[in-house]
Amino acid sequence: MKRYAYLLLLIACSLLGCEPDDICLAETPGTPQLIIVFYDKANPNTKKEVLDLQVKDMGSDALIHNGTTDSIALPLKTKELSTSFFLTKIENSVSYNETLTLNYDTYDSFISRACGYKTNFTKLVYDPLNSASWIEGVIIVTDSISDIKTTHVKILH
Amino acid sequence: MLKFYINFLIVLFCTQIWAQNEAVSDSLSTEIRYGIRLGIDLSKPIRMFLEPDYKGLELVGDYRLTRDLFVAGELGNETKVVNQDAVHFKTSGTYLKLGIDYNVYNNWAGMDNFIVVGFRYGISQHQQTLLGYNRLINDRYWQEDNQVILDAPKTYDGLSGYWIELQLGIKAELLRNLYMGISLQMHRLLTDKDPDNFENLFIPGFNKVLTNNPYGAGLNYTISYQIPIFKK
Repeated sequence: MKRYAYLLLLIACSLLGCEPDDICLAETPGTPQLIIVFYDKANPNTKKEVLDLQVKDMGSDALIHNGTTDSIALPLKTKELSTSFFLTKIENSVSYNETLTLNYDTYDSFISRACGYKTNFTKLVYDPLNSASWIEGVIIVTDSISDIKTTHVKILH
Repeated sequence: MLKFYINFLIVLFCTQIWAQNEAVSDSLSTEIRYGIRLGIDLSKPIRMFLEPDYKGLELVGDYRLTRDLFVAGELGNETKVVNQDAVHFKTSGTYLKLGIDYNVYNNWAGMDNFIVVGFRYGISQHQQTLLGYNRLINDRYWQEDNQVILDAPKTYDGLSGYWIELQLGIKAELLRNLYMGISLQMHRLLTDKDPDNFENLFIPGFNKVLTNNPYGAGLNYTISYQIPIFKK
């Protein structure tokens, strides 16, 4: 009888000790960023790098992106239905500025107990550009964003 | 004071009479008592005392078929609020477990103690209310507060869970027909009806549901009384 009691106690302790899935792994895909890829305005099917591109919030000094690239990933605000980015291209020491404002709806989808929810974006549209500085055209490739596997927006320049 | 002593003596005297009666009947009895045993799980009120966000009640019962085989079941109701990790929710509902208990302990003549191996099929009908959650935002450029508190909590009704359960326990007869028992339960979820855009994270009777792991565990600590029907 006593032996069984010890056995039960042992099983109980080992069972209560296992809670392996309460950690949200760092690589878990969460709220997706907006993937923008830059294309050549003369040849809209060819990617074209932007020289010394800087992307940031208009009223901030912190940069989201800094450097020559042909694609960027931009975080959209989850508590507001609009996000504006200030995109600066520096060519031959001259800065060209452009403001890109994106509007959208959001919905949250469940990931797991440990990770919570992620925000998805739908009905993505952009405000007309007010300064025709260096961006020639914006093409919304897909208006719903729930992962970062595909291009969401093409920018011609 | 005198009254107290008199009462005390009466109690002692009576105790002795009961004890002797029991001894007499025990030494003669080799028969097995059959009846319906009903009881309550004491671990639930203990858990209510230790965990402020938990409410539970479980009634247990069994009926003896043969010397070692019983039809057994549990009927219960649980409410649990969880506010940890990245979700804040409340689950409440009712569950029923039905199955058999098999005694593997050889009693001495006249004794009625058990080492029980039990098997159950469990069903739960419950609802889950989402009160809030965290948003997982990997890119924290905007430094937004990622905590969402729902002003209008979302209630998901009509949820269910189905599982099988292995129980290991002991039961001892304290007084004639009064038993105390403890059992450990290992369950395996078979299917469950999840809420849309959410998951069953707690199932009444099953306990915490882990992600990508159908196993769970529980225990009960019961006190029960056997209503004797016949002897054989």
